[in-house]
Order: sequence, then C-alpha cells, then structure tokens
Amino acid sequence: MKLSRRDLLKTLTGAGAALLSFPEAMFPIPEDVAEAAETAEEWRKSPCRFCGVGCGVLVGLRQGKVVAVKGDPEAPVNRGLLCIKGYSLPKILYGSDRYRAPQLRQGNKFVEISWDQALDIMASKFKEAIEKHGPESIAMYFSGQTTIFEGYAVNKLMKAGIGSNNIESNARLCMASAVAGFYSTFGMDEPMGCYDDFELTDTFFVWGSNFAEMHPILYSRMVERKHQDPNVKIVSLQTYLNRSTDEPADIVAIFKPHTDLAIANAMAHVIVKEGLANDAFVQKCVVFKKGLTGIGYGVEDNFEYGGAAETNWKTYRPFADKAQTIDFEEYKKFLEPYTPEYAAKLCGVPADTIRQIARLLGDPKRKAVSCWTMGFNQHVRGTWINNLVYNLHLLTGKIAEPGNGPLSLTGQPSACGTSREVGVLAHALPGGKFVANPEHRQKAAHIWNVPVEKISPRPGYHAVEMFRALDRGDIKVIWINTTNPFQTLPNVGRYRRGARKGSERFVIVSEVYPSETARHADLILPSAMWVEKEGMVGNTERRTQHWFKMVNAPGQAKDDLWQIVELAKRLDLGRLFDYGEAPLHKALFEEYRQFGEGSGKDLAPYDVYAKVRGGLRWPVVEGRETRWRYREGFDPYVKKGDGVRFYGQPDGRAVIWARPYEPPAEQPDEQYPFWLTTGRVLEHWHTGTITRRVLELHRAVPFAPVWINPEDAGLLGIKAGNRVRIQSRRGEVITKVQLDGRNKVPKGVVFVPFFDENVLINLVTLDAYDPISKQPDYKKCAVRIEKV
Amino acid sequence: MIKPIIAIGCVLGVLFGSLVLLSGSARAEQVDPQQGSKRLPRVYEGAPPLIPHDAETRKGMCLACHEFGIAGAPITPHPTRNDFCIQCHVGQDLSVQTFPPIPFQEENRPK
Ligand code: SF4
Repeated sequence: MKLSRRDLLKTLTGAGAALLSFPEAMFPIPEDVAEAAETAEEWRKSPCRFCGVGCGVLVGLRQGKVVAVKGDPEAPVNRGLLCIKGYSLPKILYGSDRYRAPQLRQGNKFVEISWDQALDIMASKFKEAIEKHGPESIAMYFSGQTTIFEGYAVNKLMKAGIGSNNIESNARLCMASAVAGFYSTFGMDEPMGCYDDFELTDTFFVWGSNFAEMHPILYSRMVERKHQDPNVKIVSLQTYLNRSTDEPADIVAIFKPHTDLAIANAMAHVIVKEGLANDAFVQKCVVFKKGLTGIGYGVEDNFEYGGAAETNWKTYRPFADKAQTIDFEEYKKFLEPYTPEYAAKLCGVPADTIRQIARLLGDPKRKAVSCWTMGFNQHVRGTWINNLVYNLHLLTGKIAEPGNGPLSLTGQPSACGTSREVGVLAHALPGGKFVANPEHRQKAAHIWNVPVEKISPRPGYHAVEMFRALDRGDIKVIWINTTNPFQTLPNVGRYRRGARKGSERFVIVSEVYPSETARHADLILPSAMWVEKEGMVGNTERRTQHWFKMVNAPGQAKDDLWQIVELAKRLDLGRLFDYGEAPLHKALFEEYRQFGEGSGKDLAPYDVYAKVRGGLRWPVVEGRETRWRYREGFDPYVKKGDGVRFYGQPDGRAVIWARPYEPPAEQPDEQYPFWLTTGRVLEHWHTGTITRRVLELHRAVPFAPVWINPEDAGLLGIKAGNRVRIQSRRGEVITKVQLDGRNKVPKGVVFVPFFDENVLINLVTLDAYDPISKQPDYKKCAVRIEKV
Repeated sequence: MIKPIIAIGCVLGVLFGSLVLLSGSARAEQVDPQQGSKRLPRVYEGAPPLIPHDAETRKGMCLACHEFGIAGAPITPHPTRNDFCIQCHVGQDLSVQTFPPIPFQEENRPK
C-alpha cells in the first residue's frame, strides 16, 4: 500500500473500513507531530517495531531512507499517538555500527566473509552435528520480535525438515506463564477481550506491571478514560512505587514480592464470603479443579515437573498437571484460610485494603478489567497466579463481554502473533497445536506434505534447559536470531561461559547491532530489520498487522527469512519453501492460515492484511474480526442460545483452580538481605541493542542504576550517586545508586533495569522457573548491597 | 471556575520555574545531567521536543509551566493531561556521548 501525503489525512475507505469498528477517539493527536517532516516524499503503513501494544505508524520515506514517522491516525490501537520509542523509529536503522557483512570468529577477532561462505559453514556445522549426534544436538532460538513469516518458516524447517523440536522463542522468558494460564483455565491461548475494553470499563486492576512505562499508549488510554469519567477507578498492585502508581491510580497496594498468590486468594475469599459471586454464571460456565502442589522450582538441570514418570517424552502433555475436579463447596473450604488478615500478614497490604479491592472487583454495578505483565508471568508460580486472577473474573462473571475481562498484556510485538500463534516453541505446532498430540502431528504433516513420522512427538528443550544443554554439551550448534540471550537469560554467567566452552559447540547469531550475544558468537549474520523487510506481527489483543519492505538493508545485511530459506537449501530441504512462481511471503502465510482455520484461530487472507491499516483481530470469520471471544453475538464460534461458551474446553466450561500460596525459590536472609527485582524503562527496548543507538534515548537513560530505599541506603551509609556492588550467590554487578525519581522501592527491595550491557544484572538473577510454564522468575532473588 | 485554576497554576509555575533555573542541584546529580540548552535537537524534524531540565521528579506537574508558558517555558500545543507527557517528551543528559563509546571491531572479545 502506498499513501501520498494527501491521501494520508483522508479517511480510510474501501475494504478496511467495512471490516473495522473503532472505539471513539479518546485522545488528540499532537499537531506538531501530525505536521511532521514535510520533507518525506511518501508515507506507508507499518506497526511500530517495538512493543506488544502494536501501535500503527506511518513511515515517511525520502530517497530510499526513513526520514520520519507519525502515529497512524487511523490505527485503532493508538489513534495517532506514539511513545518516544515509536518516535525514534527513523533512527533505529542508521546506527553507525550496523552489521553489514557476515563475520566469522577467528580466535578473539571476527573477520568478514561472504554470504556464501557463511551459509556453507553454517550448513556444514548443522550437517556434521546431525550426522554425529542426531537432530536433537542442534537448536534454534528465535524471538517474539521474529515476524510471522520468519517464525513459520523456521518452525517448518525445524519440525518438518530437520526433525527436531529444539526450537524456542525468547517469548518463553516473557509469556509462557500467560500461555499456560490460558490453556489450563480456558483450554485455549490468548485474551478473550481486547483494548476496546479500556473505553468500556469503569474499574481497572493493574497487577505487577509498570505499564505506564512498558505499555505507554495503552496506559494513556486508561488514564484518558479516567479523566473522561470520574466514576472510573484504578487499582494498582505493585511491588514498588513506579509511574503506574502515580496520580491517576485510586488505590495503590505495594505488596511483598511473590505474595500476589495470597492476595488473589484473599480477594476470592472476600468475594465468596460477601456473596459477590455470580452464582448463575458459575453454575453454567465454570468447573472447579485442584492440581499438584509442591511442584518445585526448576533450578536443577533436566528438572521435570510432576516427576519423570508424568512427563517423560512419551506421555508428555503440554502442561501436565494431576488435575482433580472438586466442587464449589470444596473450593470454598480451600479459600477458608485465605482471610484478608492472613494475606495481609504475608503481603504487607492492610487487610482492609484487600477487602476494598475485592469489593470493587465484586461490585455487581461495576465492570472490571485486570491487566498484568511480567510480575505475574516471571514468577515461579506464574501459571498459578494467572489462574488465580481468572478465578476472580470467573467467580464474578465479569469476563468475555464489553468492558469486562482479564487482559494479559504482552511485551513483544509478536510474542502472540509469532511465538504463540505460529508455535515457535519446543512443544507447539502452528495454530495452537501440539507436537505431543498425534492428531495435531497428522494435520501438520498433511499441510507440510511430509511423512508424519518426520515430526517428532518429543517436545524439545525449553529456553532455560536449551542453554543448560549447550553448557553441558548436549547441544552442539545453535542459531540465535533477533534476541540477546547472553544478556537476558537468568543466571546468565553460566550460559555465557557455556557458549564459549568450545569442543564442538558452534554459536550462530543473526543480529543488526553488536550485542552481548553477538560477542559470544562463532558466526555473526547481518540481518535486515523492521521496514527493511516485509513482515507481519500479532499484538496483545489478537491483532495481526502487515507491512511491506520500504527501504534496503545496509551493506549485505539480509532478511531473516532469506537466511532461513538459504540454510534450508543447503540442508537439501529447499523443497519445504518451493512454492513455484508464487510470492514467498504470501505463499507461506496462506499455508500457515490452514492450521488455524475452523478451530477458532481463523486468520484473514494475506491480501486483506496487506491492505488494512491497523490490522485485524482473530478469529476473522467471513471478513469480520472478533472483539470478544466466547460470547454469543460477538464470537462466531458461540452458537445462538449458548450465551457464554469457553469452547477451548471440551465441556465449554472454564476452570476455577484452587492454587495455594507457596514460597518462592529464594528469599532474602541474613547473608543476602534484599529482594532483587528487575525490569525495564520506557526509553529502552529490552537489552537496548537498538534503542541505545538512538542518541536521544541513550541520553534520556544512559545507564541502569539500582533503586534503593532511602532508609536502607541510610543504614548502609550510601548516598544517591554512590557506586555499589549488588551481589547474589551467582554473581555481582556494580552500578550507581538512585533513591527516587521514576521508581521508589520499599524497604528491603532493590530494582535494576536489565537494558544495560555494562550492568549485566542477569549475572545476579536466579534461573528458577515455573515448572508448568518453564518461564524463569526475574522478579525475585536474594542479594546484598555494599558500597565500593 | 477557571480563575482559581490559573492562580494555582501560576503559583506552581513560579515554583517550578525556579526549579528549572536551579537545575543542576543535588537532585539532578543522581544521573549527572549536564543541561543548559533550551532548544535541543529532536529525533527528527517534527518529533516531540525533548526536555532540557530534570523531568523525573516533576512528573505530573508539566502543565503548571507548559500550559501558559510560565517562566519562559514553551507552551504546549496539546495541553491535555499531565499524566503522560513523559511518554513522548523525555529528559536529556547532554554529557552523554553516542553509544557505543568504542567501535565494536576494536573491542576485546570474551575469552
Ligand atoms: S507503545 Fe509500544 S508500540 Fe506504541 S509506540 Fe511505544 S513502543 Fe511502539
């Protein structure tokens, strides 16, 4: 799609308009930005490169370069607004140290080689490892920023071609618990509601998510809603004060890390005790279950949840749990000990505040939207806490309708679209299918036109275990693409050392800029990024968006899809991507679409996405997107007369899970007296590989400080700006102290963002994970602080 | 109805205006900012203006000065809300040089 400057301000007509229905514009477009950059010759649509909010941008082009962007006024997500990361997009392509040619390690140096040499080396390493050690000695580690085309292609190459399921996405580190939560409660992934709920609800519950910084445009939609209607209430439950606990929040509850499990159960306790449960809804739409307890923390190698017998490769089910059905009475008994007073003792939030929050959520006259991100997902009981917040919405029936519903927010631009929907995960197949399921394998083999035996029923290594296997030497060759694990893995010291242990290990990294991971590579492949290639992504609210290639990548940098196909050809698997005359992107997407069709994951044809500004929310059935799933009248999969049907579950009923409070993997003690929690800042994207190269973003937050409580600092004789050592049982970093500003931590807690490669906080974190979802917990480990 | 708001705005404005003049105080030292120029270069022409003073600790107060241009502050063309100005307008530490400081090629490789 091409837009002239004049077209730009005209309203959207044609195919797109008929399909979409927007909520009212809630915030104005900054005029100076709307008049931006007169110098651009042409404007074209794309989603923002960065976060899972999925803002639509218009990209201003001149002489083959991106010279400006503006928020797309027609994009329903952001209606013309962007955050500073979005406004920085024109600069991200043009950092001075972009990789322009493949580089091969020679000792401690890298030398430039040709693409032919690079691909030959890569293919020979793959072949050698497969011959000597089998297909399970190789691994692919891709990303929630990988496009749908790339994710689908690499998944097919691995699962239908090479015959190994050792393919993971960094989304394991950010979304796995949300996925496991969705499957265990609803039998199907991804939110039932959408962003429209923000304008339709009157009560927001924000849990463990500084979304003022991490999902800025969504946050502004929430705040705008509140300003328009004084009846709107915002409850912010966090482990420290941050921008999401500022002014617009009505109730702020700062709880001790990990005690959200107790708070959520205490809220359910209040709702049930005070008769706020919606009995009719519960009777019709819900079953009660309890599962295994004391499930461990995954800190040991080869850890298996539920015992080896339960999850050995043959019997593996994606989220094995010994589920037992119970009844409402038993569930009530389970809730009995979770009085607000008991929770208050654990969490530090006054019992009355817990009651007040529970009553707000339970109030039949109010609507309720809950949002959460990494506080829930990066949690050794991440699946459980996801289940527990669904319990609250299920008990009150406030779910799957306009203005009511839990909305699990996503961090990455295509964690949903690619990692989850395309199934770029060790246990998954495209379209919400699983490798362990014989019918699903059959379907995949049919679409991929390969013998079913080719697809291994054994789930591969999940992310943490994949890098443990590399360290142990079980994985020989790994291809890391669009992600920076040697900065982001928990307890990263072990995995950095493991990568460079030599013997037969060979680490291939596709990158755009030098990163900690590229520094640990044997072979670096220069990639194209964002509008240097064609792409498609899917955001938090099931919205799939498409953009075309607009500019050339620098030097010899190449599209990741091209890299995947070239590797396939050299592995004699080129036939997997041979679509004759058809354009590759379209052919891949049309093939991928078959996986979800008819199963509630229907996607529109490629051509529709190519045209529509702002994308569409699946299931897209007969050209119509779906805003609320599981509800008659909104979701084409719910039959007339059914009302609400959670059709992901065979009986159409969602599960209320009895999940207890269990302690975290590590807690502060005398030796290591502080909680360490990690996260992000608004100005930087993940590890800052891209954003730190934009001078204005770098100058806004030049380094990662540690936030310490002023009283704790006083006791330690530390002042703002002092340098301190942060040390755990695993490693240490040194950085400067900050006492306030955008964050204020309570006593006993310190916070360090992870974007700074010079403050590699993941040397300190603990590689414990949720045994169900396998997602690591970056939010809590024990550290000590000393002045240096 | 409007008048008291303006009056309060003026008082706050003068207060924070003086803070602008005093930037470089102990507060600012936390991130060692070196500020001064009121007209910072933008990401590109037409991108949101950047903030030449400490913004962290004044979040939520932006309109006190920028609604009516108190103490020489630029007047915002979109005086909507205080609560999310800093999503688009961010502070700058001008002493910070381009990243990365050392060209990658010359850097030491991990052993
Ligand atoms: S909120 Fe996210 S998607 Fe929107 S402009 Fe900012 S980084 Fe991009």
